Amino acid sequence: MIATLRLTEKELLELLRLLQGKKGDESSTLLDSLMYSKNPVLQVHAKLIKTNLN
Amino acid sequence: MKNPAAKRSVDLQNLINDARSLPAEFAIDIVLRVAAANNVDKKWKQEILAEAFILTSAVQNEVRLKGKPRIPVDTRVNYRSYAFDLKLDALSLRSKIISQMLLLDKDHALRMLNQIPPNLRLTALSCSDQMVYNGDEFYKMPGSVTNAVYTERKVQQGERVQCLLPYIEGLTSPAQSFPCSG
Repeated sequence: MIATLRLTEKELLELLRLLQGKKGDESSTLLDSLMYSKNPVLQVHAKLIKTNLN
Repeated sequence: MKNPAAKRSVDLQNLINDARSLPAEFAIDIVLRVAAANNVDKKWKQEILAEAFILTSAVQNEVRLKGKPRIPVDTRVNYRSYAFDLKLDALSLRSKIISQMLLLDKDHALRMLNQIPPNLRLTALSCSDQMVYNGDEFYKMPGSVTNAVYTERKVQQGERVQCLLPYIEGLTSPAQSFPCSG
């Protein structure tokens, strides 16, 4: 279960990085939605991206 | 006298606090990124790394595994391999922490290395096992730490050999021999 979870998160985080590079409205919308997602791992990663440390 | 903690970024402190609530491997991954940031002072970095090292005892997987060659791509074994490629197992994370600590405090890095048992106690695998051990990250560590810590004089006195010998004596699996020889 963990392996599948990680892979999904990896894909999502990769997507986030791609979107972040484009600096469009989509990336900020996606970041905001992840900040308030139910998954705490994604929440913290979204905060990490907001602090530009990823 | 100024309190060094007062200069620390509130955003980063909050991020570390949030990370503490996550499963250990994710928490360590986050705090190591924070520790690598430029606006984190040396003392804070050391504190973060020391905390992360303690946290590695709670990581779910002790050793990294990889799928045997010629396993079909879309299988559970390969998906687990991809997950292990993130290097969020305890041994890989400890190696990463030690390599970051080596840049800050060599003696502390050596103390951390000494806390890892040289004998990894890997259970024997059978021919039916689809995944094998991958300790490449770990075996780079003793060499780089001892190269940085031991002076030429200590090397001549044989102290470095004494430090490295348990890692060689602790080999129990063929998967360890190749990375250990490097």
